[in-house]
Amino acid sequence: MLRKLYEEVEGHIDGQYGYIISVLNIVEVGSGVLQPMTGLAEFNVVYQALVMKVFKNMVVDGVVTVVNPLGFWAEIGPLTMFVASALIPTYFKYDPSANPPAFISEFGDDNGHVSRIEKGVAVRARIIGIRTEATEIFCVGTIKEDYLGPQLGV
Amino acid sequence: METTQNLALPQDRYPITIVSLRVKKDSEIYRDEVIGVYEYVGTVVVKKTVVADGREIHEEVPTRRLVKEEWRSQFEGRIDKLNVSPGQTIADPKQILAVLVEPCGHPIQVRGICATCGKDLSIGDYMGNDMGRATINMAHDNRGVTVSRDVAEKLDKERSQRLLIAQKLTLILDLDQTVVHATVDPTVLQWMNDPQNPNQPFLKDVHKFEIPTYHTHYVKLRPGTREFLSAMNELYEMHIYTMGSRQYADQIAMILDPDRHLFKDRIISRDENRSNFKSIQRLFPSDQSMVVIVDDRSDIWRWSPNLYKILPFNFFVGTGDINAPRLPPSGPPRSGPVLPVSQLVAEPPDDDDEKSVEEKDLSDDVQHQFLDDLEKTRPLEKISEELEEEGDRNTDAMEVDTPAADSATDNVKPKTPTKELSPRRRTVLVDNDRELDRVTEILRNVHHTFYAEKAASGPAPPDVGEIMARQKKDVLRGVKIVFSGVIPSNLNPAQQDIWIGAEQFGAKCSVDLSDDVTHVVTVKQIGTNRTNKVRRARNMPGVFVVKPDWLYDSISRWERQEEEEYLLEEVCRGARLSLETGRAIYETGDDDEAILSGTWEHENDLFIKLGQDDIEAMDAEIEAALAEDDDSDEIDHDTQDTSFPDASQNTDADFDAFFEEGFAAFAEENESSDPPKEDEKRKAPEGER
Repeated sequence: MLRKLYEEVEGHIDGQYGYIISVLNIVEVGSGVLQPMTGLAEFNVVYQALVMKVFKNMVVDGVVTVVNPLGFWAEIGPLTMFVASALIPTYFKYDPSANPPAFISEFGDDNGHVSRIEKGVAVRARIIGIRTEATEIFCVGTIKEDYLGPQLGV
Repeated sequence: METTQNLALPQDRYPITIVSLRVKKDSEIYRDEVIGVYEYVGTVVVKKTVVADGREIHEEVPTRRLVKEEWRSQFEGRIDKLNVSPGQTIADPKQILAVLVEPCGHPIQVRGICATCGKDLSIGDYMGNDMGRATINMAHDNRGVTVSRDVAEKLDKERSQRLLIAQKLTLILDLDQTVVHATVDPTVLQWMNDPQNPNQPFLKDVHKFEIPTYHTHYVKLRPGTREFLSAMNELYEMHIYTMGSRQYADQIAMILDPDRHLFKDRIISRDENRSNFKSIQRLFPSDQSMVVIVDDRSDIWRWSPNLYKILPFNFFVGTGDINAPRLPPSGPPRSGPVLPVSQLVAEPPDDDDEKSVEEKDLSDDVQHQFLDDLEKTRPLEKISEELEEEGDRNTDAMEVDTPAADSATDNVKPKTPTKELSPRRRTVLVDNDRELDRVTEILRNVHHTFYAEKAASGPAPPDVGEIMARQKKDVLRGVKIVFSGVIPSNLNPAQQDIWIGAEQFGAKCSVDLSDDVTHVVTVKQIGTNRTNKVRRARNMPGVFVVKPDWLYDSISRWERQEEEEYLLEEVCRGARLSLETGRAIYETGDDDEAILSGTWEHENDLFIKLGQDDIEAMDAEIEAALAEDDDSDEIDHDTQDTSFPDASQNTDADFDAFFEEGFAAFAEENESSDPPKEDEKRKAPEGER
């Protein structure tokens, strides 16, 4: 029965709580009630779980997955985020000849490296819009603000 | 992303008079807020009740009268300019009444939310929602980013600028049968592991990959592909556009371009395209002036002028294009055991433009089924077995044949000494395709012309499509073609691949013979069974009667080929072909002897020269020609083996019977003179492949 619970809820989306990432603790398993006609029993289970729910204006850390001229995609755990090129600071220029494609900053960072947004780079972004679908939550973000953008050592 | 919007009113209401205004300059308004009130002369339906003959009749009478209406804003934002004042009458529908500055024009949207302001746009009001403001999906991937026309144009422009600076053009490259040929036939693996197999040398560079829970694919690169890609990389920014699945495309890209420096992420597959057709607009919505396409099919590009149609690369014989099983084959007729030609021709061309998502699932099933069938039927093995049988027979027939006679051909390979019966064994696979070398040359030329013209024309850059169309037009300029026995009569000839292809290359096509015809393109015809047109054309001076290969080769090489090599040779030795005039000279005489002795030897040579593919194609064509003379619409595949003795089945009895038949028909046709029959002929089917 516990396995059934894990299968049913882990990795799924709840409209109220967002992503249910992992069931941590089962508080109470109610007594089963047989359903008429089917022979199945229904149990009310109270459990604690690790959930992830994002809110508008929340600042999140993610990893860039895809870069294209329109902007880039990042993953924040199970959540995917899109940052449009308009919301990337203008000193980041899209360079299609780079391999892999990247937004490259005109300024170096503190260590003198050119700051790049390319696949695999950690970024910090602020969420500006969220859309919850049946199987997926997805949001758009911005890095055109102070302290946002590619991060070192995240 | 502030966007300005010019406000106007519905065009059919002009002239209008502004009655009052409720906003001032710089006032912030919401979407659907009332800006003012205006009036216009409109048609209003008035319900009237008329009493006639003691009964009430309800009538709706349209009457014209002054109508007052509220002027509501479709957009949210700040009024930047207000060009009208109360009491003013405006007659010109084009006059801008007010200018409004939107805080965000939602030019980039991701699945219903604006990527620049984060607003959920899928929630609409009675005026609809704002999702329609960004509908163009121009990214290679399918993650749901859509942009507005303005942004698309901006991005296209930026790309063009970048390419101009780098002196490059864009090249869209197809995969299947253009640079690679893939199959799922497990025979390939057997052959690869069998050192005795004569096909093994060709299979050394066949790549194998598995798509999880799907099929194991075997992929052969077209000879010269790597050289082609690296040469093209200098001149072109390359994109992959394939009808294969995403996984398939990625796997092939890994083989072609392991470090991803050639294509990067510029790969688009069936999963992103969702249509049975390819279009440049999918990737380059506004500017196609620098795009060159290389593909083996022109129909799915709707004969785009930017297309360079390459001859299909058909390495694994009988497989065809594994990613296009639902469409009829392209290019020169090729036949295989999996896809009988008649079946494909009979299939109606797929006309539904945009495949919906549900349909796509269906087509995926079809695709899966096709691959399953392919795995089971193992066309390669079949062909190989057939060939071996033939080979055995052939060697029996020509025991004293010297190896020198065969050394000129590519198909024949010395066989390993395991089988004593046949000293050599023909291989199924042929690895002599040098098509890409020529493509490289042509694309270089296009690139060169483009930048030469750009330098000459100054600021306005030339259009590659125009350049290519012009170069194509020069190829067959002044040629007038009549097809005979090539296009099935039940199809509209002007919509056929070969017809459109010929016209794109500057030739004029016509249904019937006329004085200015220069070429008759026809399938191989035997004995007396040639079509009426061909018979008439033979008597017209200066008319070439050529095989379709002449046209296909001219088109794919961008060069008018010498007709001499493609002339339809007379099977009947009694009639000689004059090379000067291209017409046949008939010498009626003792034909029977000539055919029985002469024809066969000729055929035998041909068989060695040509691959199994060609032989099969010819068989199909001959059969079609036979069927045509019977005035029957259907192609009876069962008769194939009996109606014309296969080149390999060299039994005298067959030939005697066959040619006796042929001559009876010949005699008949000669007696009944042509004119009355011609009209009949025109109505009758013109020939099927």
